[in-house]
Amino acid sequence: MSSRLRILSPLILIAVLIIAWWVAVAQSKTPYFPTPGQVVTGVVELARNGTLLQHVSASLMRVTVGYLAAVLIGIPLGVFMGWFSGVFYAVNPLVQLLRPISPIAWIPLAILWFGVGNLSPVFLIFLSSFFPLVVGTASGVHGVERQFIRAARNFGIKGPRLLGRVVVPAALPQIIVAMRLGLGIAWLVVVAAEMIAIDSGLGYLIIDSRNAGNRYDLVVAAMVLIGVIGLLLDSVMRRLNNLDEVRWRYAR
Amino acid sequence: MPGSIVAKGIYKGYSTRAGHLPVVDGIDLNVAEGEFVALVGPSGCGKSTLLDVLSGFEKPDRGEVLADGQTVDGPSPKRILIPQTTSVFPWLTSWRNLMFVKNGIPVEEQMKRTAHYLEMVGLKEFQAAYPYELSGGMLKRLELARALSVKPHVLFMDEAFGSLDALTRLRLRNELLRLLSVERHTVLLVTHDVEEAVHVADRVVILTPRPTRIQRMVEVPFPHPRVLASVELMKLKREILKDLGVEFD
Repeated sequence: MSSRLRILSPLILIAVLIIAWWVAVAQSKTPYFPTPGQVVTGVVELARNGTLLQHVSASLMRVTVGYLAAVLIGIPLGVFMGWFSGVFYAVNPLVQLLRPISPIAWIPLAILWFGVGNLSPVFLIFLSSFFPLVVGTASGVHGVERQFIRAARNFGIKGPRLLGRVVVPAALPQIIVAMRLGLGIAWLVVVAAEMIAIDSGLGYLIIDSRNAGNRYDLVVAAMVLIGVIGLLLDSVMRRLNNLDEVRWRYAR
Repeated sequence: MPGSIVAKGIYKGYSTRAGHLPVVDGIDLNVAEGEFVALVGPSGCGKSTLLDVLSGFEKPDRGEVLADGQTVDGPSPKRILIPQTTSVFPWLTSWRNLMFVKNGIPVEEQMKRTAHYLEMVGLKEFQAAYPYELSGGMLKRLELARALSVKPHVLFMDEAFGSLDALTRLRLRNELLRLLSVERHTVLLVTHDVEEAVHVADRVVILTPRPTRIQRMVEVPFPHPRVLASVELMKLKREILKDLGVEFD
């Protein structure tokens, strides 16, 4: 496919869907569901009175703190699990047991432990991205190609240097995939977490807009913003694949 | 320069679901310092396992390997194994691949050696390139440069040129001989290419099918450079192939 067509075709698809949406709303004369135009007006209104920036930055701040904590703890744990079979056998059953529990199920406990402030959603985000990070990193480290480890051993590289300078670099492309996955899930969960007992953030904006006067234009506006910001976050993460240290994985 | 390898009664097997599978079935071998020995055998005969044992990556079930009189109990920078697949680190440039493996020597000396060996294999212009930017032949040169730069006594090569096209393979063989004429290392080369063996080696060890034993050893008494199409080499190649069960006229 030519590069022009590759950019153009999704834009055309989105445009067609927006037109269909607009026509459908106009035809049905629904008093609740907004037209695309009303959504845009809603976004502009939020941007003008400053609440947009406030909600977006509240959500981003929670994601940043929770996700960074998960990265700082989850990646080292994943590396140890992937490298030392003793750690793997000890920790993996617990990880596999806790992993299928939806972060949403933790909400009551989060409120019990951390109250209704910022700490509850941060904890939920930490949980949600922690498990994909641990599991992805561990499997990346476990799958490091044998010839690199053998070569390192042959040249007398061992201990922390083997782990830090050979195993982790060799697994880095997989670790970055895990980081992308983790951030995606964190962004999904922050919205859910903000729908309870919090008075800021995009999740709160959605619930509040519905409860305070059925402002579905603002509900949809917040949804669109969530999608756009999620896309931007992922494209930032995708950029990591262009680093010299990991490009080898995708070059051939 | 040291670099002798002595194998005494090496046995090695693996347990599989079908039971114990003997792979190496009693190998005695003496390799002198600076000698170039090629091990040829049918594919799957246990050549690579034997090389893994000789280089210290695998422990023999019975018997022992001595390097310069000392029992081998693991891999060492004194004995570098060049595997069939590439093992240079793809996240490091050529330069840094060589710098990385030289532990415990002063940085100026590391840099001097790195520059020297990259130059020696003709990769000076590619010192800032990453391995994925190099061709298959260049990768093997980089692999060789990295191995030589730690000044090993012995080089183990496991089908090291096997994955290359015929022309590059021939070129690298000549290259290897040239490098060895400058620095004499002991080399043990595992190959299934009989022509390669008689081209480069001082001695060819012919192995039986698995579980492998030494079937015969053949001296290659001709000086370098050898003419591949010469009557003597062709005759030798035919003899060895006959040992391996292949006859041709």
